[in-house]
Amino acid sequence: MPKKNKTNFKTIFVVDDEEVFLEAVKTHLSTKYNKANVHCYHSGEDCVANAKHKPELIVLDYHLAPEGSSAMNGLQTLQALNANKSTAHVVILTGDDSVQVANDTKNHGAFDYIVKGETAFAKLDINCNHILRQIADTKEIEDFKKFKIGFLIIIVLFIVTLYYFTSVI
Amino acid sequence: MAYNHIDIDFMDTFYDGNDEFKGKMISLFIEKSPDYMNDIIRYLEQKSLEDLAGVAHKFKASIDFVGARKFKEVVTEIERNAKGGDLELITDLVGSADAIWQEVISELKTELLKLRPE
Repeated sequence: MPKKNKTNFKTIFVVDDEEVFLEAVKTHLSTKYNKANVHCYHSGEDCVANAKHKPELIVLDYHLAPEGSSAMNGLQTLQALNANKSTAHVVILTGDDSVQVANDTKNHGAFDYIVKGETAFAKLDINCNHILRQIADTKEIEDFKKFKIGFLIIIVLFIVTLYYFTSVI
Repeated sequence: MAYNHIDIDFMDTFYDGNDEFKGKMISLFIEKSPDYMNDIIRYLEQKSLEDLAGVAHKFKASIDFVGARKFKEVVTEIERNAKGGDLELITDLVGSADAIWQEVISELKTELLKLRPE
């Protein structure tokens, strides 16, 4: 039986310059993860500027500005997030069904690349489950490391105390 | 009630019985889509095909939320042909999109009334 996922998102960013899609993704994720703070941004620049909120998940559109505009696209936003050492899992959600864009974004660390369409939210849900599992696994490893360190400290303290008392006696 | 353009069965599955979410998205589509249709017509009149492709691209993603497949097909064709530059074909497609869009809006308003009776 698969392990039940107890981890939940705390902060999610949704970045899209299209109002209807932005609202749909926001409502979908807010309903599904009702304890999470879902922040919406219309540009990559706003997303990067707010990365200090440390989102675990960023749902990022690719085409965030008209052709020829100097505004960041999804790939540039992803690169800026990487430069800022963001630990967010970035899922690209775009209307652009391009292998080149998919490869470019995945090569820059995107968790997945989803093409907007009728099944996009179902695919996003699958990605969210995988991301939560990954977060839970990482936390488990970190907790175990902390436990090991704590255990070692106790052992050392015990040995030191034992040595102290045996030398006194 | 069966509609000609919007797929209610799809919407019910998509929104998983959440009528509040469904109503919100229908309202938002009714509110925002006139801007997109106006931009499509304006860019066609200005023969600004790059802008036309851009607005069609942006618009098509939101059409999925109301299950209007035929309308999405026409808008997708507008985007594809605007990149190719066949002005005569694009003019026909925009005319067709405008006619379908008006029917889609009318059907959505009917559906919204069922969700939120006055």
